This record gives sequence, C-alpha cells and structure tokens, in this order.
Amino acid sequence: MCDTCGCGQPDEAVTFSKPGESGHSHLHDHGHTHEHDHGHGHTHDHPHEHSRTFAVEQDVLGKNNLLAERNRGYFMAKNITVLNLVSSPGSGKTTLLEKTIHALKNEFSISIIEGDQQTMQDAERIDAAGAPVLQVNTGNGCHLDSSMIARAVTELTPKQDSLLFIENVGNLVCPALFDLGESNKVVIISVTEGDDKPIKYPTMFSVSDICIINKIDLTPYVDFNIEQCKTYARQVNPALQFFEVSATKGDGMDAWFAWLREQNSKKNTA
Amino acid sequence: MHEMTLAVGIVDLAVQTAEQNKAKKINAITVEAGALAGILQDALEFCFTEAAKNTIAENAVLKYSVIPAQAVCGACGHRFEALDRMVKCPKCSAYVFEISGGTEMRVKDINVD
Repeated sequence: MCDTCGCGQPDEAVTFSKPGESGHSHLHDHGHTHEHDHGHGHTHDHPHEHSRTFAVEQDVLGKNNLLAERNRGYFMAKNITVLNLVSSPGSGKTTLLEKTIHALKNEFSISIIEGDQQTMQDAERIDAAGAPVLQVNTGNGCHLDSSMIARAVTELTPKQDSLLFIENVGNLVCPALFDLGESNKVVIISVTEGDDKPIKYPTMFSVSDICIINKIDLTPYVDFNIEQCKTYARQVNPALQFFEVSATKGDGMDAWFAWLREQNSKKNTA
Repeated sequence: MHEMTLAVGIVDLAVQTAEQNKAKKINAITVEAGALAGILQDALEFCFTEAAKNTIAENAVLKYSVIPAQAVCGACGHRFEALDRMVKCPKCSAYVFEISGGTEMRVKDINVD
C-alpha cells in the first residue's frame, strides 16, 4: 500500500523534473525501515506478564515540521517570499500563476515548484510563461511534504530576494496538515465550486492567510454568492484576506499584483 | 487520505522507542489526536493495521484519545473546549474567533513485552 495516502496502490517514486529534461526519480526519503528480524519463533505463555510502558511523547508530524522549519530558515536567509497555493483541482492555480509571471517577471525573480500526481503539463505551461520551474510528481501522493520542497529547492535554486510559488497537489484536505516552510498559504476557490466550501473544508481555510476567489467573470452564470462565501470563510478564519479575481480576464488582478510587490519588497523575517 | 502517513509515523515512533528499550513486542500504543487535526479515527485504525504489519507493532492495540482545542469567544470572552472549527459560543452563540491547540498528533506512550 502507498505510505503517503493509503490508496491501496503500490508506492510510486516521487519524481523531480524540469521541462526539457528527462525525469529522474527519487524515492521518498521518509527514513523509516521496518526490521523483520524480530522472529516470532518463541511464544509467551503469559504475554503481558512482564509488560512495561515507556513514554514516547513525540509528534507524529515532527519530522515534517522540523524539516519545514529548516526550509523556512533557508528562505528567510535568502529573503525569499514563499507562497503555498492550495485548492481543489481545477480552481485555476496554474492560470493564476501564468498571468502573475507575465505581469511581474520583469520586476523581480519568480520561480515555481509544481506539485501534481502525474505529468509535466503544468511545468510546461509555467516554462512557456517564462519562469524557472520544477515539477514534483508525487505518484499516488495526495500532498507535498517538506522533504520534497527541500529537495526541489536544491534543484531549482531560487534567487535572493525572489518570490517562490509552490503549487500544491489539487486537494483541499491533506495539504492543510503539512507545513512546507512557506511564508503564507494561499487558498484558491473558484465560483464554479460551492460557496459553502469554507465551512465544508474548514481546516484549509483556517490555516490559510490569503483567499483568492477566482473566475469571478463567470458569476452571472452560476449560483455562487461571493459575499456568502466570504462570510463562511470569516467564520472559520476572521483574519483571512480576500482577492476577487478573474485570472483569465484580468479582473481584480492588479490588487493581487500589488500585494505580491509589497511582499517582495518587505524583508522576510520570523 | 493522509492517515496512512500518520499511521506510518506512529509505527515508526513506537518501534523506535521499543527497540531502544530492548522490547520484543508492542502490546499497545497510546496516541493523542487534536480534535482539529483532521483525522478520521476509523481510517487511522485501518491504516495502522496495515502499517504495523511485519513490525513488532503488529497486532498492537491503538489507544486513541481526542484532545480538544481551547476556544475563547470573540464576543463575550467565554473560555471553553472546542471539538470543531465551526463552533458557536455556548454562552452567547457568537462564532468563536480564537482557537488554539487541537491540531497535535502525538504518540504518548507504548506498552511492550
């Protein structure tokens, strides 16, 4: 079974590739081994007679969190603003990134880590938009973790004072629990989804700092109520900052670009 | 979906501690899960059974307890324990705006032979 998401399929290798290069794979470095040398050849007649209890008192995600903090330290030292983009599949994350690259790539350096289960499709779109990109294919995995980001960053080598976007695997559940070392999580919801998503998937909205409501040009054709969505989201996270945009048509994008400029100009501190 | 990652992490921590203490078999593992950690207990137990196979934790009992989050009502200041992110204040029915804790996932202790 896949260790990453328990989906019942064999654990596939996580791969890291740049457009134009043939992919090379690296297995998950979870560093766990299961020893098989504890034979069951002997039986205890009174199995619990000598049982002892030991305190463990350790966080299960401790390893991920530790490595995330190491990533964060690296980003702080190089003054790189890192935004972890999370959403359901199809909310328009890649299009938002393409438009952002076109608008800002002459002002400062932008690089992208693309997370998907399979294919180089998104990395190729980002490459065509003109930003350095590394595709991480998680195989069957449902989220990126901090070790994948550590590995991706050594290959991508983002510049000092730059902006790094991490496009997480499209999934509104699991990525909420895995700190990658980012400066902010940005959750994206499109108006073709339900406006009650913030209360259906509250964890993601509560751990995010920014909420982008995308595809607002389609609002006349769908039942999505933007104000209702914001009200729900604020119930989960009153500090959430909103941007209402249409990445394809350009509506509202200037406010998003202005916020990114502001992030890039201020010192990335703890 | 991430329960398998957590289950593997639980088995790793338990086996590590057991081996350090020269134990041969793990009888039980006590875990504490925050109410807001997004964990489905049934899914975790299912994944744990799989993750523990062929380790000294195989057939161990997973003792699971939920740790509530601490909530402070934004409107009236009432403090209470919350098991959900979408909670109303039990005193004034306002939506609660300050929640802390409840997202941990810890292995507390192990019982071994």
